[in-house]
Amino acid sequence: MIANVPSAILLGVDGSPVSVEVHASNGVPGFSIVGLPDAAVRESRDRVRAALLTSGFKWSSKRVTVNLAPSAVRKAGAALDLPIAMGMLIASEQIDPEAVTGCAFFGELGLDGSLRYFPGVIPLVDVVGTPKVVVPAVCLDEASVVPAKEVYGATSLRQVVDALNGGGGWVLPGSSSTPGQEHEDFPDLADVRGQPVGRRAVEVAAAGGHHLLLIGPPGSGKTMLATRLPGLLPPLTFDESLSVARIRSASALSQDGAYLPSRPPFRAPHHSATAVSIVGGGSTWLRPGEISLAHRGVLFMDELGEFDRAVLDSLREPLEEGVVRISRVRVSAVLPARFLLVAATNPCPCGEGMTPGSCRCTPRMRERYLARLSGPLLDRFDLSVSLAKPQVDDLLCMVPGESTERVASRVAAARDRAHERGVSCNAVIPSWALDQLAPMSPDALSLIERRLRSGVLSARGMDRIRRVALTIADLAQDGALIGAEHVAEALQLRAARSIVRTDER
Amino acid sequence: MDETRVAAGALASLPGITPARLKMLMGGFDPEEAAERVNGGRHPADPQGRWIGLCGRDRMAVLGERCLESAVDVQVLGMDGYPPSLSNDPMAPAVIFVGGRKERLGDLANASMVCTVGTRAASPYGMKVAYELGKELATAGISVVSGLADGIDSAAHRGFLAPFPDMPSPATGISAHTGHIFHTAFPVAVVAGGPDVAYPRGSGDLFDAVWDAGVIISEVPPGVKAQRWRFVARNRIMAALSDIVIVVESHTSGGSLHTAGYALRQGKPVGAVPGPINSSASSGCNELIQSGKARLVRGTADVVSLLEADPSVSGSRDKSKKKKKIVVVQSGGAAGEASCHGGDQDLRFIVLGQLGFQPLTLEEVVVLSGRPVGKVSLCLELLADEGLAREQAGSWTRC
Repeated sequence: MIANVPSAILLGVDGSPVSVEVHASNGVPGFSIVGLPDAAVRESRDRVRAALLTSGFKWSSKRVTVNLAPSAVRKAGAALDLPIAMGMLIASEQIDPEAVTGCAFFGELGLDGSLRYFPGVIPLVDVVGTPKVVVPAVCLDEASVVPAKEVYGATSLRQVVDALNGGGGWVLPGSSSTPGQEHEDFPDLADVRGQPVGRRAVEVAAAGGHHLLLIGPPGSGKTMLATRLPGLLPPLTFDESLSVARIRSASALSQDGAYLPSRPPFRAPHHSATAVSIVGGGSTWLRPGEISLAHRGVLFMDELGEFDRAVLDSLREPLEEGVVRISRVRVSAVLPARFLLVAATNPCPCGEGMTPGSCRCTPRMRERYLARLSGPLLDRFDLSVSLAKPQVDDLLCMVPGESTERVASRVAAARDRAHERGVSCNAVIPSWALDQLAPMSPDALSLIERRLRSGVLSARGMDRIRRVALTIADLAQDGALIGAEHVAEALQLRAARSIVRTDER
Repeated sequence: MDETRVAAGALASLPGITPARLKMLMGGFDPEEAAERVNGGRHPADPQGRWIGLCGRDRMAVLGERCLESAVDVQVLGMDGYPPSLSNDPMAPAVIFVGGRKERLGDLANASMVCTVGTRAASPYGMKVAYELGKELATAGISVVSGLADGIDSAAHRGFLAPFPDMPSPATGISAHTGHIFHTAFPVAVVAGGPDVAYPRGSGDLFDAVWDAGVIISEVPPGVKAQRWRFVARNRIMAALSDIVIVVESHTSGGSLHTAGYALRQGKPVGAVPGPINSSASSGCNELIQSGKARLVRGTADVVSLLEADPSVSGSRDKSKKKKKIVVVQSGGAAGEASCHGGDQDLRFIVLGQLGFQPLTLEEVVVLSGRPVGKVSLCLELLADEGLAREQAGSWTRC
């Protein structure tokens, strides 16, 4: 008797369909799994055997071969336990093959036959070709996120078989665990006192999708501003939300509710993070890294200069392309990574370099500190502003700053104007389209021309200034032309880069 | 080089030698005998015989060879060629190693020597003052002694060499007063490592320029890297070689205050350049001035008057070069006079009023003026175009 049960494995953040073929024939009793299983899959033989026996089924005394097709791809993870068990039941004629037609299975088995959580529910359920999918009850709500699939949940192998035979019910969605609660309350921008330039930079970054570099001494509010940026971004659309959900699911982050997030993600990896943890990787199961987890949201890198040089350099291509291509000998994957990068750094090792005269670092110490920040990476920041410690008056003043709500409405209006241009945000407008999409007034042109002539602005720098100036004009809901004021502000919101980079602006 | 100098050099190269131990070894014996006794363990100042066999003919030959290779001379206290200004110091080093234009060593006594020192972690203000001071002193025919460290020391020497792009004889010029060619002003560097070792790394070009144009002095033999404690001794030599010491910028605990302290003990005038009262890089200078130990120095004119008031400056020196009129170019703003190309007149007035010599960040200008970032940015950019304001590393100052 031969059985064929559809399932899937996880590669990066996408599923890859696998069909689990089980063949039972006469011969020396035995059990073997072929089709490049990894250790966890090979061990499923023992889990499946125990689960079948404790659930009241028989363990076949025939010669059993399990083939995981396509056989050239490495299989990892324990989600194949349930499909293998179902294949065994069909092959040993303990369940009617008709009952499982058009049904895919996922789940890790306990020795008592219970079904357990596995990572990557959403992409796996999404990829299988069958209309019906059976998952562990703990994954049911997460799996229900996938559109156009009938998803059934069960707590144990016994329940799966009974329900398929019509002798019992499934677990219903929303009944097993607490419904996906969004607990991501972003802090309010009103908490930031003073800091007019920092607030402005965060607003422009949110409105135009411009990468932002904050330079300032410890205690100047770099982290405070950065954590308030995601709250300014518009809520995710359904498609964006689903792509974020897939990534979170693939990295097993969605266990604690909020399966279909409406708020953009915010990730802040510590500076000791390795390159693989940032860009993603691993040898068999390509895990998404922090840049993918920050997809459609904000990646905040505090103490940018303390990150490994390799980590910083690996950010360059994803920043440009919006995806990261990971290749290993056996597997390769393309993971989405379109994020807004916000970085913070001290101006020098002692941190006081902004205030002339109070810094105790020698030029050599400063050079060494800033040498980590490579020029190509710094070039990706459209905005770089220096922050000072807040004024005492501002701190003691009881009047709150402008609230996130008000700023977010301006940002949304500015983003609408960008959508009318046919781009998702101004930061991604290609250089060749700038003349058409971002025309400048004569005043603005002459301001830029003087800077180009004097050499303080490069051609590439000019393009970045024009994009930011366009965003500033959008925020002000000004006319069709970019004015001198917008260009001047764009120039100023980028001026601090000369603190960390002196060669060009 | 004669045997005596080589022997003295070999004594100064002994492992674990300090200026005080070297003086004890060389006291009462001529260098050759001292070296022989040390080598044989018969020196009364070395009863344990810690240097037995370390000062023999072979060692001397190696040292002589190395000096010859790196073009370094050995000068011995009490012998011809040792700078007289240095020998007046009761703690003068017994042996010095000299590189660069060694024939200039004799001119040390005839030239006016100003020691400019300051912190390595200098502010842009300090760097600018040091550079300008060095430049003006060079044109005034006054030699500059410094330590080639990062920050103020380097800035002063770079400024000194700036008016004379045609190396290697910078201060060879024609005196405006007498029409005579003078060769008196040259850079002098006192370093803590060997006189042929460029320190700190990366300042090799400046080191080479000073080597070509002036004199480099050290207590340490060629090829040896600087040890930490040598820097303090280096400061003492700088003070002894100079007529006056000017501290350009110093923290309250800076090493340049040691140099000023040595100068005061040697009865030499000390000047200090004042700085903003809230700048920690200038706190040492401001304290020197406040305590009355240093005269306030606003520019080269003040340095010259300090030199002239120096009681130790002998009448034999050529006064003309010191009295040379130095025109200090005053930077001043033609504020608000220039015409405005659009923009907000009121705001322009407010912003101009705020900008000063002390750099302000964009944020500070925005906070002080209470206007939106965009308006202030435009105002600043327009002021920059008119040449009234300048931006450096995100901070704004008046031009």
